[in-house]
Amino acid sequence: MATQRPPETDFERMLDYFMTEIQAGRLTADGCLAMYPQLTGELRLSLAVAGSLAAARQAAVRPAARDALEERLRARMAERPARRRARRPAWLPIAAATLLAIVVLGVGVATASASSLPGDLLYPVKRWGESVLLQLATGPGRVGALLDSAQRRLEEFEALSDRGVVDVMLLEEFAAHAQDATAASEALRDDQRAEALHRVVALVTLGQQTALDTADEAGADLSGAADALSGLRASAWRKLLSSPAPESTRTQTPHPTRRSTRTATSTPTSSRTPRRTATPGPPDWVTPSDRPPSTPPGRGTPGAGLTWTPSGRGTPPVPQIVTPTPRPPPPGQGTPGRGRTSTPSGQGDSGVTPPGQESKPTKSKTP
Amino acid sequence: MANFVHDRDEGDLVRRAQQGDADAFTELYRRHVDQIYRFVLLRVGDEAAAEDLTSEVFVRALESLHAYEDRGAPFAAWLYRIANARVVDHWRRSRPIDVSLDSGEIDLPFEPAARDVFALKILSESLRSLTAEQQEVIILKFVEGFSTAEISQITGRSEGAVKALQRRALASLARHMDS
Repeated sequence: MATQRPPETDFERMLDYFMTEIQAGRLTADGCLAMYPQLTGELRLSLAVAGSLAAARQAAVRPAARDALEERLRARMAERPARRRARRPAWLPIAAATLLAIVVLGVGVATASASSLPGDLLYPVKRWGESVLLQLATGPGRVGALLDSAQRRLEEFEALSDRGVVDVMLLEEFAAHAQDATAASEALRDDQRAEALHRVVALVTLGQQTALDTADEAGADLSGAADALSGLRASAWRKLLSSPAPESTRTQTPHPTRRSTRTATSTPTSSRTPRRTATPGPPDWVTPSDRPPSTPPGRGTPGAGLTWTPSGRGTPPVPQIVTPTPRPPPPGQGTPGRGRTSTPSGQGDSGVTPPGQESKPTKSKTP
Repeated sequence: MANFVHDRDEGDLVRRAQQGDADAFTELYRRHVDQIYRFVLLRVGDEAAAEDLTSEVFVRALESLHAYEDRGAPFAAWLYRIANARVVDHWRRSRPIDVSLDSGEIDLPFEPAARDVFALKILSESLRSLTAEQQEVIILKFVEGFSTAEISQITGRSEGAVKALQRRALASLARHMDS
């Protein structure tokens, strides 16, 4: 009864006030009722209930039961950490971290190797990864993997020749992959085969183009490679035209820029500008005898694929890997390389090239 | 006895107990064992059963302590929820379906003042006529002295729902007391 606060009008607040006083021992419920006879209804009833529960408010656990339960809880707590340790071996986090490091490192090496070139530390990793993929792939997937490998060899060849190194071996491998893809396409369904052969033609055309450009700029004699690729392209075209659905294949124009090798390897400072083109169109309608004078008989065997020698004109064999010293680009060619991301030939859209134009050097762009 | 005067160090005690500090959990037990016991006792009306249930409440609290999240409600609110679930489960297991109300008298382990005996007897009968939710609110309000806001935190019901439960419980008790 220390506080003689007048009761507030709000029921909840009044009840809370009385209960606080009762809990604190300053008031009793009966005392409240005696003090405020004007209290009625719910509040009076509430105080009556509180008063009748006054005795219950003193209830407490028997000391013996209280101590026994405390002992029981302490015993449980004592065995808990031991159980937890038994469930999780101490070496597990270390093993998990090591495994994670290996996986991260592996992915990192594989990613880093993707742009590596012959002679780089990671280049064998890249080649190993490709060979694994090739062994695993079947059907259209295998043809796709072969063509991917071919494209990568061409990209590497271009990247190296940008540095002034002409690696003919890479062109050979490019051609080998392309020929394998042509052979593997035989087993495919008609529509898949047509698509695969179109891709072969496009890619080989691009390879021919690259060979001609490199020969021009680096002064390397790559005419044999260009001729062999020309023959490879002709055989792919013949296969395409003899397939059961020529209508559908004729309407699809092969587009050599579909997967441009240039996008991956060219840099804005590249001094190379494509000047020669190989037309992507069907060469043979076009029999080997129609071939232009730039490919005299005896230099490679058109249509026969890879049986060419990198040396020209029957001269004594030269090493297959030609590595001329790097030299600055000629003046006037210093325009940033836009190059072959666009159509290498102005006639590329037509898909049909008049006979006799095949592999004849033509100006595709003026610098 | 004003339990919800929020102890600033209670949060620290809980965190330490969660990290396996046995002393911290023992301290929490000592602070709250009596109020949990009262809450259980008034609802089951039997001292031995109330002790067993109180024991169950703290064992369960210890086992699920790692899952406890401090969302601003006092630690006691969490203990009351566990206790409420234990009481309801106890009824499901042991309460005879036919309860004769006039035999009901809370077997209190203390000697109440003579003046209180009559009221308590009436109240014990009346309390048992209430629903579980109403009992919970009445005990928290009139035995433990929690405010409506605090009971709202403990029971997980809105303050409006708590007030409505309290009003219906009081009306039901009034009918019993008058009859």
